[in-house]
Amino acid sequence: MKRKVPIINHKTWNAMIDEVSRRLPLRFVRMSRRWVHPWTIVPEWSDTAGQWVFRVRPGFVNGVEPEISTLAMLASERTLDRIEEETGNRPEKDQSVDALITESPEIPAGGTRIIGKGANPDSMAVSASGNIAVKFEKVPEFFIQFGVSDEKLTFQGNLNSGIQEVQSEEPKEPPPLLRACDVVLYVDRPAAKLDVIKGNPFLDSFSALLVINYGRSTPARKRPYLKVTAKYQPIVEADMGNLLEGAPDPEFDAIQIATIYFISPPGYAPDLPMDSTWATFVKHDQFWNLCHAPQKIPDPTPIEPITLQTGLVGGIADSIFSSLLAPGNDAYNTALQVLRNRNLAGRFWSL
Amino acid sequence: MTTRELKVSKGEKVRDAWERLVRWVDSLKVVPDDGIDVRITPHGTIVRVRDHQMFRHPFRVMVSGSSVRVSPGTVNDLIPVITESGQKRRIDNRDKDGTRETGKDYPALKLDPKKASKDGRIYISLRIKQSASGGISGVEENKAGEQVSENVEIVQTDSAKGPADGFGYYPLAFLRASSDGGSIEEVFQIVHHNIRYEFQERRPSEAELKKDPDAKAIGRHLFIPT
Repeated sequence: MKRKVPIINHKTWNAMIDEVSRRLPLRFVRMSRRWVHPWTIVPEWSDTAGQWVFRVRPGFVNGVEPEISTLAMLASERTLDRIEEETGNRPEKDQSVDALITESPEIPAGGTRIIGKGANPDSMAVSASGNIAVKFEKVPEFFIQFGVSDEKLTFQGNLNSGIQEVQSEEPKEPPPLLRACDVVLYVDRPAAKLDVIKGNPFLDSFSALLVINYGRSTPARKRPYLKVTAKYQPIVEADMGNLLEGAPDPEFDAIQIATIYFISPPGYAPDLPMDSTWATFVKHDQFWNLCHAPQKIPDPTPIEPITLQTGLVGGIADSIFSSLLAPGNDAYNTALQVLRNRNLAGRFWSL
Repeated sequence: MTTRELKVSKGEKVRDAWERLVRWVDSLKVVPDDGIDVRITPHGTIVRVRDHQMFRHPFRVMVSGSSVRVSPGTVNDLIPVITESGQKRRIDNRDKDGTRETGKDYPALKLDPKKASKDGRIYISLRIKQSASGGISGVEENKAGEQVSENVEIVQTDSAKGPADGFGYYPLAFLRASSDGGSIEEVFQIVHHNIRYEFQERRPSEAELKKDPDAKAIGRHLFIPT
């Protein structure tokens, strides 16, 4: 038996489709609301600059966003507009500009260090028996799975008998190359400065006065700043080694934000610059916005100068300042104590 | 498939169009999943996507038009207040006694574009009046046994450190206003945690007072996450 096919006017059908399409959800769009922590670094290859660059998810220090140096061609229109408004000139594309990280600049990764094969040694030590030990930055375990291997430098013999480098066996396939750079946050601050006032032993009752003041050699930057460096070496607070150079207290506090690692495809020639075929990985050290403050409220009470006494005439005294300040001496200990009490080294904490 | 393909022209067989319609409806079927709940009700189907990645932290600043709401957070266990139409209201939408305000929405801070900095910066900041002991001034206990104070307030400032009026300021978020000041273009959240507040003071020594009898104490406001 032949079934009867219903006849529906095409206008009725199309009106029904219009109605259905209005009422039915056609597609769900799930907006990404994934939380990205402050200081998140995202590297990418820039065709404009012909090098690796990165972006930073804005982080704040005491509620103020840092600035970072970049090329005008990598800065956003917002940065260029701001600079033009401040200076009256729009920067040329190859010009270096200071961009605020809330202005979404791209930042050149710049110079990198080599980790693993071809790396420069971190330190070299000679033991009492004359053996030489060379230390390199270790390849992070994560990259060993990609075939990156540690640099090894072994010496045979010792300083007395003669030294010979032991050649290690070359791998059949050249391992991938690993390079890295560090992103570091700086906050300028006043430093305890040391001034040496030399006395005239014929006229004065002292040979020298050590005066500790607060000050800076350059004007402090108003906001925190980020720098990209091949390798960050943490600063030493109140370094008495620099006492005689008059710069015992650094004029900034610094904290490492992240390390960006670059790994090459296997067989990449070591003397070639990095290109877009390399892959990047980021190890973050900071995940929250930061506060920063000096450990102590600066004490405005003038510091009594430390008097160095010698029984010798002027001129000869100069040569013995260093012995007066040799570790263990009273003057050294007093200077160290004052410096430790008065240095304005700050601390970072997350908020 | 688009709805255009479901339509027919005059004389076209309805059966073919019907089959296309069935295929289209099938393709739109919502399948429950780990993060998706599907509930069929007489009034329609409710699809709820559970967003595990949403970070619901304290002091989340939400801008809507020219007003700002801040999700509840604490400073020394105190809930801050927002001044709304001249009245100080707790940001957790409870009254001084800790009872939920009925029939009222969470308080909103009205943004004043005139208070933005030259370059369109607006900060939503905590403003704290310190006590002599280094804590927060005016803390008392309400009927529910909670510590409360109206001296922890959320206000609008034009800089991160706030005005130099003796109060302690810390920005919760930085908002960038459009060049005409008519809208907020970007919101950068600064604080993600509840906060402990301390005021550290260094009073002038006797020697300093001898030199300058008007020497004032200097101090600093510290904000620490908890």
